[in-house]
Amino acid sequence: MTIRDAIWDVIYEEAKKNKNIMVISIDYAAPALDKFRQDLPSQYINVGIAEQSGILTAVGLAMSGKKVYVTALNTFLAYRDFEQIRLHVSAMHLPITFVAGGTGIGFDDGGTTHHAVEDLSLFRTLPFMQIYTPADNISAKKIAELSLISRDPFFIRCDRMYLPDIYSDDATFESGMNVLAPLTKTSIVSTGNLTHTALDVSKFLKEEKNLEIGIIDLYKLPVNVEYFIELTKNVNTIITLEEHTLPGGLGSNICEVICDYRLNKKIKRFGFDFSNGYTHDYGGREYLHSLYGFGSEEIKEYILHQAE
Amino acid sequence: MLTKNEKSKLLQEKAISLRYDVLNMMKNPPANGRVSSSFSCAEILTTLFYSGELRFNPENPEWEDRDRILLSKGQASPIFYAILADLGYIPQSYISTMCQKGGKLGSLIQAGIPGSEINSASLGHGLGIGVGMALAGKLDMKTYSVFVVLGDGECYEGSVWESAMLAAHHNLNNLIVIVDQNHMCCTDFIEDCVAQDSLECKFESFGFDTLSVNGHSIDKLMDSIQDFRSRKRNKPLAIIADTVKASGLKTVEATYLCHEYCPRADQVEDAIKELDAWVQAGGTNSDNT
Repeated sequence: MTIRDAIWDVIYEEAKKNKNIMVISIDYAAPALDKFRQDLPSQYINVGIAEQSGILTAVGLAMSGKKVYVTALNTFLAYRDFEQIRLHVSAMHLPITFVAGGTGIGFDDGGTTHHAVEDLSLFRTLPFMQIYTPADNISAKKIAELSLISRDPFFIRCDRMYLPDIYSDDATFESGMNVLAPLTKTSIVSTGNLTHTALDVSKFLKEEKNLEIGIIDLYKLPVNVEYFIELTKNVNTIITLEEHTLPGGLGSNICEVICDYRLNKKIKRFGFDFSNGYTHDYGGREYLHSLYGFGSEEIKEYILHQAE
Repeated sequence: MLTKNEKSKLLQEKAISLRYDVLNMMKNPPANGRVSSSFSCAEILTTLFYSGELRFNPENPEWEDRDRILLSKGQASPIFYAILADLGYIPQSYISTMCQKGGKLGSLIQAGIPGSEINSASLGHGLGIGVGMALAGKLDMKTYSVFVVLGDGECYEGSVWESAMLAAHHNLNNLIVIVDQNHMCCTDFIEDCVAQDSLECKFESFGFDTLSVNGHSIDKLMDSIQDFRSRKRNKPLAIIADTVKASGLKTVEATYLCHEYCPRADQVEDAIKELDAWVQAGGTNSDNT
């Protein structure tokens, strides 16, 4: 089961009881969505390959009192529909939840067409938008539960691939971030699938190099500033990891917090630098991470070099 | 009880009166808005808001059983504001402070203005939102209808056709599209820019019932929406209303770049005189007088 299925399972159970819940699929499937199609046909609409109509219809439904979920491939949802989402969902503060599939370079062989690596930069400019990037199915379920009771629009960035559970069932997701490894002078702030990279790096450094590295899974943007400042008060160097372009993403958001609140911290951002053009390379996700300097090995080397 | 002719005459006078309201609006700088877009849909909006056929309540704009009127071509904000003020959705003071510091009305229609329904004027959006509202109405067994007023220039937008396809697929016979076909987009004539041929045929091929009417004829417009709530057909309806951009201002009507026309405060009296002359000559571009 992948993150999107974990989300749909939660929504499905609620939708069976609440006929006001509607799912708009922009011709985007998930195994767990088939249950909607079969069991709740009046609450499920596939609008076809028509992103604009999909969002606008969702807006009209939400304005008529429906609790609407929209699912599509992240790259089309974020880019082709940005204007509709900005002008109607965000400007009218409609509680629509977007379940965006194929986040980051989940479709690694899809090239720029399918690489959703600028969505954070776009969406964190939108008033009221709650942007979540679950790192496992447990967090995905809890975030789906939050979406059911929220009056805010949600943009949930779902990884295409299965991500092993890193949270326990009693974990909570109200604060915007969770500490996965006790914070140290140099700590990693990561999101989504790269939180797994952070865990790998931290484990290696601890076991092989006797070096403790703290980790924050920052699963929600914009950053919960007060909590972040409190959590990181003893951290001197922050390393950010995101499968996203550097301008405007998680690392950028942290830079803004450091700057705006005059925090005395160093920061190193890892992510895609496409300033010389988008990637035309293939060979898998991890290969591309390494190519752009943020594979597990590159990050380990960076931290060890800094520690010397 | 008014006869149909008496009602038609009253509505025609209302459409003229709203044109004066629009021009007078421009006496308060920096009031700004699309006069020519407003005038081309004057009779369309008059029919929707004043014919008594639609149900809405200015004292309760959010009334859930109201018929929805979405002016997707929100560039025609001045006449829309004039109607909202006339019907009591908004106070007249909103009009006199349009685009001013502390004012509530800008040059484009925004959600939050009582009666406005949506943020409009990003063209191609209104129909899709109307589809969602019409769908919700069907799902909830409501009897309201959704009217979406589009421009023909707006029909260049692909989202219009995505939404049209969806509306027909879901048999939304509670959805009525009225295209203000004034034959112009922002900077050009439709025919010279990218010819659209027959919008009626296009909507029909997308699964709509269609009608073509003179969009300045109150009679024809009233006929076109009669019995809309009890339509037997399963299809949504598209009414192609043929109009003249800036209808009522003879020196501006259907002239190149008339989309941008907005008289300065010191030009309003001259525009009113021009409108006076048009009114004295019969005050219509319709064929029903």
